[in-house]
Amino acid sequence: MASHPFQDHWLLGLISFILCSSAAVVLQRFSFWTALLSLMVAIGVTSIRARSSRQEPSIEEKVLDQSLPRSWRLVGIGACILLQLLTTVTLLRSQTGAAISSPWQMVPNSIFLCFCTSLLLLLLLSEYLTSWIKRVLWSWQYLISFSVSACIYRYGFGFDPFIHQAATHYLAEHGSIQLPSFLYIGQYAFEASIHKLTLIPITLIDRWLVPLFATMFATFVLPRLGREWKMPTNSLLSLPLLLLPFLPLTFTVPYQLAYLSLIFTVYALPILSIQKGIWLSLGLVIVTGLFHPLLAIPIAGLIVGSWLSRRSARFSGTSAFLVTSLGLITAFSIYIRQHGGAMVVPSVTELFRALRVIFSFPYDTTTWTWYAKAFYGLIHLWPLAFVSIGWIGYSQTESSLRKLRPVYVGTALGMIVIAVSLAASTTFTNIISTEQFEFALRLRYAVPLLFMPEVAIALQTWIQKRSDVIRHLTFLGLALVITGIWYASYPQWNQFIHQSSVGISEVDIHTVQTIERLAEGKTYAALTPQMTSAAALHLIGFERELSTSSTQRYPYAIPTGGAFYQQYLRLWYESDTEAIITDARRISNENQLFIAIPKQWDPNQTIHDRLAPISATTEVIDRSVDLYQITR
Amino acid sequence: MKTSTRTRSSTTVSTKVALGIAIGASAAFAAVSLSSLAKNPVSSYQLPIKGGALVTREQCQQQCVETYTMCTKKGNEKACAQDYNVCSQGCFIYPPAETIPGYMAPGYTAPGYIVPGNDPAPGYNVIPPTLKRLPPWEANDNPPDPKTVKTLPVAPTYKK
Repeated sequence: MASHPFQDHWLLGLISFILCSSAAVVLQRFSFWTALLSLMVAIGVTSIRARSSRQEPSIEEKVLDQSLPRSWRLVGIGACILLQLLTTVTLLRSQTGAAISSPWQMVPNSIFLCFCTSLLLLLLLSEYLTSWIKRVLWSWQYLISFSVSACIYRYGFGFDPFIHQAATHYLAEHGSIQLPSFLYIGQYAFEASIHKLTLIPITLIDRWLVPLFATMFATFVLPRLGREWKMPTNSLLSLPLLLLPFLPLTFTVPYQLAYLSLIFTVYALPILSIQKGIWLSLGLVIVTGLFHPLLAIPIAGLIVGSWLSRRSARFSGTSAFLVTSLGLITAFSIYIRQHGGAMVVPSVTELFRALRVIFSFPYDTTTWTWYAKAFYGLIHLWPLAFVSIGWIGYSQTESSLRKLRPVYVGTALGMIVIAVSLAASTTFTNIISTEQFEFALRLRYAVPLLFMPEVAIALQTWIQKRSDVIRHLTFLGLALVITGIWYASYPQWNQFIHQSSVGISEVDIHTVQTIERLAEGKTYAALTPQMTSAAALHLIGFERELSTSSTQRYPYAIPTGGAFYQQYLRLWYESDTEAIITDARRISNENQLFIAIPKQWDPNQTIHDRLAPISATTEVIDRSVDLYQITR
Repeated sequence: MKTSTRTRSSTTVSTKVALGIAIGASAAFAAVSLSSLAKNPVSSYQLPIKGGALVTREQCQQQCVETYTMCTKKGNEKACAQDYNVCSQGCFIYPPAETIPGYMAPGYTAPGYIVPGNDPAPGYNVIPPTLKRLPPWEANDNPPDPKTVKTLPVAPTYKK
């Protein structure tokens, strides 16, 4: 079975497609025809590149080990397929329209046994399977890993994905969209083009884009880079994807696409640093920038460093560090200049506080059991262990690859320095207070990605040198660790961790539909819970807006929408409801006001007692939400 | 060019034992999973409670009350009330008040776990840039101290 060397023509085609689509968005000329043109350009680039690429000789994959009797293989494959099928069916049958906080609330615990055992079987069987069976089974396993949320939440979860979906819808419908900056254009253009060309609904594309891409990367793209890492037998090469909490690979927002770009760059660095990789390098930086610059800059740092490492290894690490750190700080300065905020020179005390914010254990464990402390403690320390294993892996790579070590380390240091600096010095005005550290934390959590290939090398070296018993125990350990990480990769809501990730519920949908019915086609403003606003984005998109004296405003309150949302919070903090309503009307420039209060959030009916007497209509939605219509 | 990297050519007893155990476990776990699947499919108005079991809201609340009653018999009513709050919050369609963005729950220890993807919404107006040169934890956009709020979910006063 031949293992082909990595060819970048299809990837250049994909990059061309995204770039052309994005150009159409920038020029406010997006349509089916520009999507088609982008496709033609992509096909052209792919074929030209394929022709010009020198056909490098293939290498033979490891000869299939036939020593395991065919009957054993068939039973093993059958058991693996059965478990994967059961896991998939369980996930699909657990789908809900309730407002759950975590997908794990909906599935029976037996799913973890099935997941762990199918993974163990795959690890044990891999060397006895033909290439295509291996790919199918691993693809299925990766897809299960990345798609729990996509299966469970009927309407999707989180808030931001709905904003991005609504923006993409608007772009597809109207051919243009006014954005305050080039941020996110890559995703909008990419999804809208796929929609135009295939007629697949945008919500469906959006739900599955990153989980499917992550699966394809894991089973078809990254293994092809095995040759560059001197790992021609490469089942383990992608496994580090499952060895870090992989929440960013489970749903689609622009940052997650940039995250995938970073993973690819880290693996592809040996080929990006050579002459023929220049177009791919440039394309990766630009396209990632169009998704989300936060990771485009470290990608640029990696690429610049790797180029220098081929010519003068001496400054490669330093240049990677400088490009990453200076690039990030410049980008944040521009961001704050455009969007508001403050950057100050931090004191030493503030720097220590920032270190604590970035690296300390974030939970209060005083009431936790020992096993909860052990599990979450390990999850917290795991990235450090991951980097250490990667460091060991470096020492086992060939000398040509070891030249890249300073590049990865320099980039990692640049990201850490900026993460700490941001946490110590920067305030973002359009981000809610509990998420002020998010950019810093994102950088901190992306750093271990830089050590993924080396972790795979360390694993392979360990497995090759050990006896069968140790090898099998290692597989068992890997299956257990990955299952634990699978659990930790999705939001958890248990007796220890309250990490809510609420989805749109049927109640939210019904609330918006009721508001639309009561409004009778007239304009209105709505003070609603965040997920009801997400339901509005899901149902009516950006097709409604209110004109205020200063700007256009979405009729539903959203947490990043500034003063209007603050009026919703005031309902809990202040008793002068009339004043809140007056302010809400003034800010929204709208007389007709709807207020939705979940009964759970008003257990003593304090807010109800204030709002009911001044409301023209009061309705209870699905016994869960009190809806008030207030007209002048 | 052929570069075979084959390192093992024979299957040892260990491999067969490992596979045998895994296949045996598969059969057992498949049976457990099938029995879970045989139960009724999930309804939007059923609610998850510990261990993935699904109950109605009334059953859920009843369980919480029972747990609370048993707990109070052992003493430490305050801890029991806290447990009850956590339990009963799971019985409502809506997640508890601490999930309201911007709302700081009592005992909240920032910074919390990262959930990537919460970028600022595109196209929206934002709060005018503040000129206050303060580090983030002293920024003036923190909500009021929730300990002073009277409408927080409170401990139950259920009696048998």
